[in-house]
Amino acid sequence: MSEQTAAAPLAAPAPAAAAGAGRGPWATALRKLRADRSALAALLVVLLVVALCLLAPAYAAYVAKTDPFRSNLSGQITVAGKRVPVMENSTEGLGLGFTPIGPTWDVRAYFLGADGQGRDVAARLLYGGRSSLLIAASATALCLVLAAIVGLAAGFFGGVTDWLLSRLLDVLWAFPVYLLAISLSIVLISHGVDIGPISINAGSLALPIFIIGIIYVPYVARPIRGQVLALKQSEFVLAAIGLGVPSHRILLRDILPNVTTTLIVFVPLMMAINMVTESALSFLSIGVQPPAASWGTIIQDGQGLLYTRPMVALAPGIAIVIMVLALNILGDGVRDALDPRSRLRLRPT
Amino acid sequence: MLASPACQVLPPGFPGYQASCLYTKDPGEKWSAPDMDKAKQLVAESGTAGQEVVIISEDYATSKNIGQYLQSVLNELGYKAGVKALPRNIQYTYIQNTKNKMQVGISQWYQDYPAASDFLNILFGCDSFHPDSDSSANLPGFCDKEIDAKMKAALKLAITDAAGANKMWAEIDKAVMEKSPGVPLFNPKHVDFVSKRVGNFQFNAQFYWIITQSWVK
Repeated sequence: MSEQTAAAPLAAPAPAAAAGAGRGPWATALRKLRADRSALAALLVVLLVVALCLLAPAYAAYVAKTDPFRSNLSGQITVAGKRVPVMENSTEGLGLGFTPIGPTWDVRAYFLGADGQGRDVAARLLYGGRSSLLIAASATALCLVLAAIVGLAAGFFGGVTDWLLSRLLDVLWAFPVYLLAISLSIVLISHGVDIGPISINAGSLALPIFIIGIIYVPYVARPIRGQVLALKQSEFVLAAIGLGVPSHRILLRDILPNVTTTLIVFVPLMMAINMVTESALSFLSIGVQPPAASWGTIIQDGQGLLYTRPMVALAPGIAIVIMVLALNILGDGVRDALDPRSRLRLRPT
Repeated sequence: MLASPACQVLPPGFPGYQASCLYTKDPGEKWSAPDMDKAKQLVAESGTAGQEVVIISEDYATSKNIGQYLQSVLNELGYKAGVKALPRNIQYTYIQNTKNKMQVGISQWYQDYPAASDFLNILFGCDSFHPDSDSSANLPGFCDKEIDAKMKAALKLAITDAAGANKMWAEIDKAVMEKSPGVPLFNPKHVDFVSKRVGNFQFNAQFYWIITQSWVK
């Protein structure tokens, strides 16, 4: 809604406002979002990180010239014109063993240093981002689709359907999320999933996507169900039912569009949650399997190097913080933009 | 150094140990260098290049790192290797059970008592292999009748002639390595740090440092 000046409350609407009155709800929401600077900044951060991660193969092949999935224990690189080993003799403590090279701050060679296998941390960070973002996005999509189906069915059909689905959600909800995820991962990690038509290889990224997507269904399905229960009592739905419109048409044409905004608000928020969950599972070695990288596995790789090469663990940790923060700010902005009661100030066009 | 490359089943200084390194650049008594050219040639001859290989490691840092390093080497040799890190409490039983069709598993073995049979017979004897069981210490399922007969003879001889039995175990060690059912990686070194004030440090092959016999000034 545009603001009007208090001095002339009965003045005819300005052309700009008249033009705004003709906008649909999506256009209005987009305008609100564009006016929200913090949400826009967050969106830019998210897009920047995604773009960098998508460029991981190009960075590894043409800039860093490294294979981030291959051990390089006896390799050498050039730093400030000198050839130095990637794994240096340790000078810490008793001076035993080897320490990977630290950050060179040269994008062409081990920008963030090497990990315990002599691999380029910067290249692995970008590749890890691809895995983490893919798993978070896919798990979010899976979760929202399942939650929408469950929430719509439970809320609209009621009765036994609602009872059964709600109890199923209650059972899932009763488990601490991480405990459930860890239990499922440990059971499925050795043999994968083979349930009827669903077959997932143990080493596939589809496995953590499947697990993370399932465990958060109650968190989205319950609000959807509540919204559907309210919509079911609305006049246009009652009219459609009274006219004998088939249930599937009412669900698809009348109810689903009205819960779509709720689902959209959940997208960035669930992505942030799923990213943290994936990182936690991968840190515990039950998410992404080596040598594939994710931000969680890289943190685990850096655990033993915290005192000598902290950047190995810090870099992915900072990346996770940045992404989760940006997604949460974006989620708040999207929620405010889609809320028709939002008081967000709009700049006149 | 905290460890040394291993070329055979028995560790250095162990009863029955006789230095021998078959799989190195210059075969002899000591490990010299990797021979990737020869390894690639053998892979080509075997016709298994390009095969998918899964390495089962434990989920703690050392085992995972070994797994990732092995994966890197296998990829360099022309395989498509991956690593699966299982929780410590299930990995060992998982790799023992033939139902799981383990291809490469990372494990470790320490003496229960200082006798060559505790390594060779337990790890490569026919009687140690139990298909479809979580308790089958003979991980590769190795059963060579000739070597097994020699092991049984060495076990019998050890009762009356320990030195003679150890000589037999040295031959068995070499014979097993010629068949290469397993790949010894390294022998970690056992290190005891003591202060200058500690006296009467006594080391026993079974119990290691006998602390009760030492004193502190």
